[in-house]
Amino acid sequence: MNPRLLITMILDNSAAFQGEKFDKFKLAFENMLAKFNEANPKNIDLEIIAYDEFSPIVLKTFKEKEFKAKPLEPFKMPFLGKSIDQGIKDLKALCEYYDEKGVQMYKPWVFVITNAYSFDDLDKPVADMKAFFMSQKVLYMPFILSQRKIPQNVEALQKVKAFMRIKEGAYEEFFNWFFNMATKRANTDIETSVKFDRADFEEWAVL
Amino acid sequence: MILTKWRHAQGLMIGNDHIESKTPCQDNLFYAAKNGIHVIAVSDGAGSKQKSQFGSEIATKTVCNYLIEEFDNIYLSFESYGKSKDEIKESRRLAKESIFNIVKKSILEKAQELQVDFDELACTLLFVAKKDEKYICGHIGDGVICALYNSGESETLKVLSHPENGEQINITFFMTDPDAVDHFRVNTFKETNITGLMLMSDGPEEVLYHPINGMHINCLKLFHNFNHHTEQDYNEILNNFLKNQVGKYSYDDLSINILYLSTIDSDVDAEEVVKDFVMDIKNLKQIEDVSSYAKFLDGTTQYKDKDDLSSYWGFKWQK
Repeated sequence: MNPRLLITMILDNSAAFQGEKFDKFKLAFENMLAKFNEANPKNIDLEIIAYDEFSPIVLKTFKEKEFKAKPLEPFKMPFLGKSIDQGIKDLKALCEYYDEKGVQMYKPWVFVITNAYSFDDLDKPVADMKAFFMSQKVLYMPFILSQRKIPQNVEALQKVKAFMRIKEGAYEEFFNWFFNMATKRANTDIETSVKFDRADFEEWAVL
Repeated sequence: MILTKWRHAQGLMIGNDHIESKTPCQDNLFYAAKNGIHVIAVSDGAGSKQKSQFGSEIATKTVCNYLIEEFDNIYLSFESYGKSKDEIKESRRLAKESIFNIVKKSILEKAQELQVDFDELACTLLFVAKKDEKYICGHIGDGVICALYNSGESETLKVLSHPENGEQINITFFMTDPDAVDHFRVNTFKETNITGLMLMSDGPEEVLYHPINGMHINCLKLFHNFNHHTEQDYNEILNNFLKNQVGKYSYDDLSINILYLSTIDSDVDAEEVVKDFVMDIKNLKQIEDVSSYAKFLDGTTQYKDKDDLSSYWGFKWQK
């Protein structure tokens, strides 16, 4: 049996990220889910979290085996801290469960895709996230959708690892890359590390 | 053809007191626009502080750039729909503090750069951001924010935010005060009848504002006169107005920042005014048909390619 690949993905659907840009992002996200459904990888546990009003909304839980998510709706309140908190809590619980059952796991992935703004304080959720990373090796990748300077609100996140900026509108390319990397990882031997190459990012990242 | 557009003008003059005491002008103004969002800001550096002009400069710039990016999030947080009373209170507090903190941090960084104490950059702050019929208005300290309402039949000036002074008239509140966040007032509203916004520091406030009667009637003219001038010319006119008229009565620094839904007739107004009016329009998507002979222009919306608009306008200056 292949080891499990646990992926937590946090998406931005705040009010400042709307219109044509958001529609394109949503379409690319849905296309990625369709690809996962078609490929139907049996050893990937994916959780997708987005913003709602005061609490984050889990669009797809780890428990749901089908790669289908609740609709990503725009114009929500940007509580990035709460979303990270929820994501790490759920990931930690699943890691503990698999550990107890003796299920082998790849290094879990945590992907934060933000327009770089948050209403809530990120210091505590980010400190908790860092503490989790100390206890469990994780591939953590933060991505920024906005083309502006990193604002103060998300500096705490930037300090853990520098954001990679997604080119404006290159969402299809980004989610394609994500799908390819995830399925590749889930099909390789646990001892073999999956390495990223500059060429992997060229299509969609501001390098 | 009738052309309508939100246009910005500003006047800034050093006060006579500052000329005499050889201190720089400590007022600052800023304007930013993008994707249909317009933000104007005014800040008055504290007269008792040596470097407050840097505080007012960074405060206006930061608040405008921030609101351009986060207008929708801030506005959304002030809406009450679907929220409990506690949630409304909490989200408004968070949104207000997010603006306050970002401005405060920019002042703090500037103070570190200049190697002076934080409160050396003490300044007030007034701002208004608009997107379509939605408005965000914020204020700490003195100065005044007013709006021009046009009902179709009549025009009226209303004060959106009054100056806040301490126990004495010459005492006000600054961004650098320990309790500044308590005096930092932010509110949002929806209004379709606003055709102009004006911010002013306490210098012009002394002359053009009355706490009971509101704005001086001549403020109407400050909007109307803009119609027949280029932005550059009107800035010059506002400067002269501040220096020669307002300056007779107020010896403080003088600043006025205006955003106005300006209207011109391309067949009647001077060629240079028409040219100035349409010069930032690069794409047909930035022109909205109000009727067969009236257009609304918005040069702030983004476009992919430049269109050849020479045949579209058919103005005298292009023929």
